Amino acid sequence: MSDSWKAALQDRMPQDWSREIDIFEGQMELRRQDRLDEKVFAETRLRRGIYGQRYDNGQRHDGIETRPLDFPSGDLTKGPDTMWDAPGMQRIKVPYGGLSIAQMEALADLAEEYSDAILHVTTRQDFQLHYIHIDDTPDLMRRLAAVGLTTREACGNSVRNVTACPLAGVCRDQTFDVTPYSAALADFLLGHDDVQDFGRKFKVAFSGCEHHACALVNMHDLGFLARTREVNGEIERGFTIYVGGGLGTVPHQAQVLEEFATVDEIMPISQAVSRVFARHGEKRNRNRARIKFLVASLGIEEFRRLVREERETLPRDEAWTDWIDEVPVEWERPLRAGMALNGSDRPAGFDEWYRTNVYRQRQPGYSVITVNLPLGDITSWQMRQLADIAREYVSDNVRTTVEQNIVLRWVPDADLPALFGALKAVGLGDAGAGTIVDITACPGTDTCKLGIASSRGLAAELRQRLAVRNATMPDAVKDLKIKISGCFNSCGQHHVADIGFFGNSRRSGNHKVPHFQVVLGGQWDENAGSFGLAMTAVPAKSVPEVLDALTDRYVAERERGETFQSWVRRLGRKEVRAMFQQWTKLPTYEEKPDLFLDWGDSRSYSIGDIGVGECAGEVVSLFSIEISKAESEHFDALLALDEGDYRQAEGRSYQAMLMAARALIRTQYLDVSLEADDIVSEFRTRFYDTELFFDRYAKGKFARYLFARYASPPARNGEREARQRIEEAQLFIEATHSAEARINGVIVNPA
Amino acid sequence: MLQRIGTKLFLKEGCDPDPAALIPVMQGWIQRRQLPGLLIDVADYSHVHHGPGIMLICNEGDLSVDFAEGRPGILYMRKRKHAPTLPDGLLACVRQCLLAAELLQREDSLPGLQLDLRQTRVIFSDRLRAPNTPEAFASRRGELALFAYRLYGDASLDQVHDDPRENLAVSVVAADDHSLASLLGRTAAASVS
Ligand code: HEM
Ligand code: SF4
Repeated sequence: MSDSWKAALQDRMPQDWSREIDIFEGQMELRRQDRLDEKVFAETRLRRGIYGQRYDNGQRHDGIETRPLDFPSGDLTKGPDTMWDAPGMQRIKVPYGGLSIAQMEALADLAEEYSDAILHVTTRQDFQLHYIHIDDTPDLMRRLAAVGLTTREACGNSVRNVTACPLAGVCRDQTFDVTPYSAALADFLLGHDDVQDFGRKFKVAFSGCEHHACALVNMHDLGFLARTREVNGEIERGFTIYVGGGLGTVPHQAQVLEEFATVDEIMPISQAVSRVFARHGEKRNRNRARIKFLVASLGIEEFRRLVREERETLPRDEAWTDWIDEVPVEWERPLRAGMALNGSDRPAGFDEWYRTNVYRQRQPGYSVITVNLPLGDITSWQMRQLADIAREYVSDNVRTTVEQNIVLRWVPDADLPALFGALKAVGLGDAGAGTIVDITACPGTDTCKLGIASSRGLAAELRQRLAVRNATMPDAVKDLKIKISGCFNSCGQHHVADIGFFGNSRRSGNHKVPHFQVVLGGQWDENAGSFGLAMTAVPAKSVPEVLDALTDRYVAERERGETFQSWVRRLGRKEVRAMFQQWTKLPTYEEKPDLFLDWGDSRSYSIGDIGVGECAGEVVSLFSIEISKAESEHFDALLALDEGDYRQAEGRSYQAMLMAARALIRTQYLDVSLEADDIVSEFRTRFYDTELFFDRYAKGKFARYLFARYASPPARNGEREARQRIEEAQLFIEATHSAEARINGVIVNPA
Repeated sequence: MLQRIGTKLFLKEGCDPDPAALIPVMQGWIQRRQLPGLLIDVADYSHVHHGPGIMLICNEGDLSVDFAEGRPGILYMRKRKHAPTLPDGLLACVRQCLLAAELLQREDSLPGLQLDLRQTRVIFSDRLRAPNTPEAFASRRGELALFAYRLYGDASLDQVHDDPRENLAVSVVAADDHSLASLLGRTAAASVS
């Protein structure tokens, strides 16, 4: 028996993967001896998929005060302000979501031995393990490598997991199966020389069709949409290639880079895009470093020209095409013969589950079933049981989904009742996949360092409440999607939900109140065809009531066949705001202390270890009055957008930023004029140059939105410009709120 | 040294604590530093079926009111800084469970919480050095017997699961009844920190 995983698995790991892990282990040792700079080590670690977690700076607010966490490794860090011993997160890449039984079993073991016996499926088909100690990561990676999984470039400024529709190959509407292409490209780009020098992360997705959402091509840095064309009477496969989409603080819809690229071109074009991005992309300002900013600033025509030029100069690589002949006609084989669902006994609950969790494949007699995971979580034990179920019914035909679920493909219809029974017995038979109870949530304040409000706490609460009412809920409500992010970074993809939420905070008196911005009308179909827009922020604890009010009204007022998106549009933003108004007026702490807590947390709420400071501020300050005017200006901008008046929407958004800046300036200097020149210059010297406006993570990012608009008004006034300005103004106003709370001493932020 | 070792004390049949009530209780332990070790955070896994329930994440090991197999109990899994010998390490784990039990029983929000103290589940989570096989169990039997003797005096040992993929788990059942106070006394020399 070997005494180390390294020895035990030596023959089962791909050699290059094994070597990379050894190198990383060596870098860990260098860092322990302080012979490797902590910043360099941090990026190295991220490129191995190891993220920091909340409290890893060695302090935590326990609800009474911020207290140090005295980790035994003392001053040793794994990055700036990141303690070596602090629990961290390990992300594991799952290209196109494809899982084998051996991988499922290995993941179950790893979660038990190194994490907390929970496997978490992410919004990009990955797995995450939380509360990992960095010392355990090399063995963890070796055990993954032995079953063909890697963590390489799962985080960091490189190509992240390549995602694809979980129905690829079995979908009734697909053009063709994108699986082999996504797998090949993931393989080609992994560790490629040309993807090592990005200023930011880079996300790739494949979709088999235009109209569904499964792969969300429109919100990716690089997206591939399956197409065919006829050449000399033969059908030729290819892709429409999209570039420059992305969520994040300012969401962008992707644009078409190439209308039709043949399959032998997907690798060279991806490589050329990578080179252009590496060469021209922003490196210093991380907030403008995603490729979406480069595409937006160059314009798609110029970007396309650069990519084509680059493509021409690339030296030919066999790897571009040598895989093509090996693409199998059928990527997967069923384990069992397809058979219709006959009259066999149906267990209790089967029909409801069948309605929501079963998808009829294009291949007769087979279905895809969705295992609906609460908050994307599954225990190690359940994963082993699921592996057994897969072994019995579908073999390795298992995939993760971006809605944080797992699907089993190629289930013979006749086996569905038995399979449902088996899932139910291990607590995996929840119905409601893809419906309103199947809520997506990012890690939020549970483990994410940037979390402002508890996305998972809220998701758990809503899931529980909605499940109770599920039986009586009208279909129109059942079919809505809810997605929640813990902050504006949108890891929970709230922009593409019917009803999205992202965490922020507000102040009432001397206390902070966790809030969620309500984002309505995002579109999941059409590959994330359009993004929702923020309506207003409501206290976290009021969200269930807000949701009820919203869905009740939708049911009552909806016209036949009207979608949620068009109902929201018809209702109009003003009316939506009015409906939410009763929740936006904050009571005092004494009146309603419960509102000052977040979901699933009994600690008094704080952000970034913020505590309640000593010096009491006025309950209603001049600032609150003036900032509310800026907010109202912003609201008018939204109305103008709804009316299609883009020039006005853009102009008012800018005005709202100026007003917010002025409100902040007036906390120091009352006599500032109403002129943009004065406001910007006062704001710059008082709050930007002094860094008073800066918060710990976004730094001066939001202030630069104001400066950029001040320096250069938009050349054209289209919808894109208007939407962007509206988003920017929203974030700038938020940041002004936070800055005021921080600066004016009521709440002490150690940042 | 094994990757992880742990112990679980089951609650008496019929005891089914409300996970939501456990969150403020454990957050209170962090505020008051009521358990040995470096207490970091509370994780809520009450949404998963037969899962780890509510978990107090600590540097040395995690303590949870765990619902695995549908049998709630107090579980402590030691992650690092193991004691020099396995019996010492396991006694420290049991002690941590007992200390947590003592605290939980004082909570008004968790009425009637009772433990079945005649039984301790020992868990080894290390598939390299302690796979769930009869051989691995046999090779650890001596150390386990010593642990069982120090905890209970007379006791029997049984391997729990057949599935070779599971953690190696051993059920230690005492010949006699024991009280929380007496077990705390018998483990007084052990500590996780
Ligand atoms: C400024 C920092 C960050 C930004 C701008 C950001 C942005 C995003 C966006 C836009 C997505 C998802 C949607 C997509 O493109 O498919 C995403 C995914 C994700 N983010 Fe973040 N994020 C940030 C930091 C973090 C941190 C600190 C965590 C928590 C440790 C985190 C956790 C996740 C997770 C779990 C996913 C799904 C993951 C995957 O498998 O790739 N993010 N992030
Ligand atoms: S959205 Fe915010 S809170 Fe959620 S994971 Fe991303 S950065 Fe963290």
